[in-house]
Amino acid sequence: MALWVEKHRPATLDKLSFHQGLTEHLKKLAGSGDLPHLLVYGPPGAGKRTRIAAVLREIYGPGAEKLRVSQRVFETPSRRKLDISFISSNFHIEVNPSDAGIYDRVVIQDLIKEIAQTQQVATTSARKFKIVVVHEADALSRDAQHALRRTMEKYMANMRIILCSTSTGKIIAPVQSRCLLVRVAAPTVDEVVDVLGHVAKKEGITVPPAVAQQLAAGSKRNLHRALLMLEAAYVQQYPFADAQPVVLPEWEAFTKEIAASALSSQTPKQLMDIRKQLYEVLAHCIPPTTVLKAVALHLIGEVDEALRPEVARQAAFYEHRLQTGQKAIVHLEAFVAKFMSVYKRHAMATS
Amino acid sequence: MARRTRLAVVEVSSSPEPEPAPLPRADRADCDDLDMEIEFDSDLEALINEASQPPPPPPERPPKPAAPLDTGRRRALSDRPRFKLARAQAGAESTPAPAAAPGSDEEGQLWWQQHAPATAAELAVHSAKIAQVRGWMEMAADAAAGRGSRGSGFFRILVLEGPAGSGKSTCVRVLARELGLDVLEWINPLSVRLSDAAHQADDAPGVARRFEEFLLQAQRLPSLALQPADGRHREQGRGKLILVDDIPNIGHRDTRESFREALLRFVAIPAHRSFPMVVVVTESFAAQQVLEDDGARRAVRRQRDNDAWSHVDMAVWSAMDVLPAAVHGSPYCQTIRFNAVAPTIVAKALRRILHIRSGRDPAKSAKLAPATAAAVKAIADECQGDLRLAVIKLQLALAGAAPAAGDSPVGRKRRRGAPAAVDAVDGAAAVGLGEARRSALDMFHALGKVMYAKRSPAHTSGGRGRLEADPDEVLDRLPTDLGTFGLYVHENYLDFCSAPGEAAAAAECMSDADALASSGRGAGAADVYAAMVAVRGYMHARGHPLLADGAAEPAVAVRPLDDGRRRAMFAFRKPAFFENYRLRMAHSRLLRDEACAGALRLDALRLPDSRLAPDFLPFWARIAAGRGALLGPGAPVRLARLAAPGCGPDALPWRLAAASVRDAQPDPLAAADPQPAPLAEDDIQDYSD
Repeated sequence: MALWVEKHRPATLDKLSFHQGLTEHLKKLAGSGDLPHLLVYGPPGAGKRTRIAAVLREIYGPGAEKLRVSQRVFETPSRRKLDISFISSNFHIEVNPSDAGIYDRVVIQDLIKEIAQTQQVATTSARKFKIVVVHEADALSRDAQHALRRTMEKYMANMRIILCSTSTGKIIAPVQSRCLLVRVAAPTVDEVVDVLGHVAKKEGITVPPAVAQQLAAGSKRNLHRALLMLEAAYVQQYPFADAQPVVLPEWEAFTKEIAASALSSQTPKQLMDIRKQLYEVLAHCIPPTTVLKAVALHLIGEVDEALRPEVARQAAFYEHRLQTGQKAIVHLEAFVAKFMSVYKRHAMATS
Repeated sequence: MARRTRLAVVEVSSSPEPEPAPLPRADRADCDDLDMEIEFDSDLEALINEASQPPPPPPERPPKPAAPLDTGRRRALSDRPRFKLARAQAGAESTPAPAAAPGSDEEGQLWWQQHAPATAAELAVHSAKIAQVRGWMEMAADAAAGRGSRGSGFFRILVLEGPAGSGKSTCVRVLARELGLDVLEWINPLSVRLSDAAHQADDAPGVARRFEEFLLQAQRLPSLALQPADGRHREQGRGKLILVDDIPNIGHRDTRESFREALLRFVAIPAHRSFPMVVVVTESFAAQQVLEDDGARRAVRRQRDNDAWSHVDMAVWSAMDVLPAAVHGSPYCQTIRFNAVAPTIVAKALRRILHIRSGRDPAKSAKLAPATAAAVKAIADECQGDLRLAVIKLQLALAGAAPAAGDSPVGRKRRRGAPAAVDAVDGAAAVGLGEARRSALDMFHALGKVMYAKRSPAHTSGGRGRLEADPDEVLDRLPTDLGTFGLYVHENYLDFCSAPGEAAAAAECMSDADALASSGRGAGAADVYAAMVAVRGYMHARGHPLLADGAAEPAVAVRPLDDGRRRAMFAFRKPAFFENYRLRMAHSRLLRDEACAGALRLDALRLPDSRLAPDFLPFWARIAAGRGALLGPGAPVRLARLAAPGCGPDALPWRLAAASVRDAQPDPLAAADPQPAPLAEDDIQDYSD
């Protein structure tokens, strides 16, 4: 069962539906016979990976689409064995450094060296280089990025690197300067609606414009998510009703509940209940940062104008704490406690 | 030291006779005394140098203490695991002749070794427990001898779990003696490298390999017929029991893995071709291992909070961690848990020793002098169920009072014609000793001191009074590490806060503390400061008048809770943190497994959990539920459970969808728990291996 989001992913640059200017540039790059290292960045669901795949296809032809998943074992300096899975074709290899944890430097170095030291053997290929795609490049540790910097220069003859990340903030400057920066912005709501209509047509279903608008808005301009939402809505109820509620993830509803209970009463007992809810969300692998953001945004939306800056300030403070600390629950709870205290004080002052 | 006889395979076994005169009296030499084994003797050094000499000793060799060791034996000594040695003279190296007076044993021996129980009736263990262990050993011995009944082939490994000093090893030894089994004990070798890995080029094997060898030899080699000096032969063909009391350093990863493999192989051998094994897992040992490993764990945990590191589990170290899951969960392995010895039983055991020492018959319960009785009671109360500790304390307390030893070489039990010397012990002295030893507070005692944060009445009108418990002293006397205590404080502090201001101030301190503790990476004193910030911050915030947020909710020292219970009776909770962490890891693995097996195969490999869980999973779960038949059986149910935290408003459709799929395809997971609730214990088991 292929999901729609996979099934209708445009395979070639020609089929891409938005960011036409960018598409032209990519086409020229791919056609020029050479390719610089690329750093593709943009928000999630904007089409970074789709574009990377399309560029690969443009360069190598349909052969680049024959993907296989392979496993390899790396050995760390401390003799730990790491099992890493890769997606690869004859022409490229994709790696996700977060699989390797703190040992990403080893994985990146080994992998790149290995690829760089073997020449492209496929005779059909017009290109002499292979491509390494690094997903989640902003998760690369500093060590790994420095390792990358060296290898990027050293093995330029045989290999190109495409880094894919949500922002350039966590990529060190030397790596950035060796790459061509490609920004893939999030699609506008209208563009998302277009794509939804396109997919719906291919699937042979009709989506009322109102529903498409709702989905696009609910997806927060994340096309990947919008397509998943469309399919989920379709599975749930079809034909669509105009007023069909948008399917939101359970955890979002759950964080909304947390915010609501923080607003309803401000006692330590209530905080205790909220702690249980927070634990529950965390247990479902929702990243603490996401939880904090969701709760904070709900709260900011609900409180008095005068309190908003203070709540935002506290959210930022505890976001920082989440980054430095280890036990997410402590910081999330401290944020809620702080909010309760501030809110209660404000309520008493105004009444 | 040359007096000591060493043999390649040794049996700590024992003749049933209580007084085997000058024989190797191994029954008295309790095998726990690692201290005795650790002594390095000068000839051992020489032996190691001759390690390349031809192989093992002739099986029969009378233990002539003064005889020079032949080379074969030297080899056996230096590069074999050091099995328990039968001792010509237990702890009596300085005595010139084997016929030395038994009384001289006492000079070098502790009472807990000397007066270890000889019969099951004397054990300070509940009789039902003894019966359980005895039953297991009988079945296992029968199975090993090939005359076991149906099903006895499953009696391969017995795990005895329990705190230190609860009588686990003694129980095994005493019962083995009563059942006529020879005990083969694994003793960790002293002079080997930690692992095979470090020096692969060398042919000297590491601990782990030696353990495997030990197991193999225990199976292969028949019991050596040791010929005691008086010419009596031991009963031939006795069963054997493998005792693993001294667990290899499983904090070390390579050793742990080989240890587990060795056990797995051991279990695979049919019962009648091998011998049963008893593994003794002491909990305090375990805690130490966890701490050693903690640095590594912390590094990993810090790096990637939501990564699927299957080996990082923060559970408490127990038999589950020592034994591989495949062994521990198999029918070949049974577990019997020993509890800490109750104070009354400790007191009884102490009285028995006192009676023995004073020459009375321990069976008749003569009254002790009141002072002594008080001392015994004080020791029994303070030893926290550790019988060994209690006996040591007793010996220490009586050390000054006892007359010089060795002047009346009568039988051990009839020695000491001066009961007055024992009875006249100063009870206060014993109690005082106990005080000095009791450095650690009980966990909940320490927690109570912090949580209640009692203050003496304010002297001046403006002040809040001094804290009755000094936070620094509490932190000094913690029974756990500071981080764990911090978690306990965090888990419980909300029950003691009455105003949101208080809670916020305390929570902020906890947050500060966590950030501080994380910055140090285990080095320096960061964790000490962190604990101080958390504890002092909370104690300061609790009941602070300025944080009370108005007069509506005045913070008072003791206040009934909302449901009417008195706060003073509030029960402390264990931190939910560990459980939650374990759950998250299990979910993460499950998610990844599902993702890799399901439609998101490529995406799953390209994306980390941090995006998979919030962005894709909820929708994917819905789609999967709608098209349930296309995925594997049970997949939609599992996905829905993963996606839905708690019972959010959207949970209902999920239950329905899950139910419909369940009806179509019976699924053990769903049958166990049809609600999209957090995963149950048994689900996690499935994925954690």
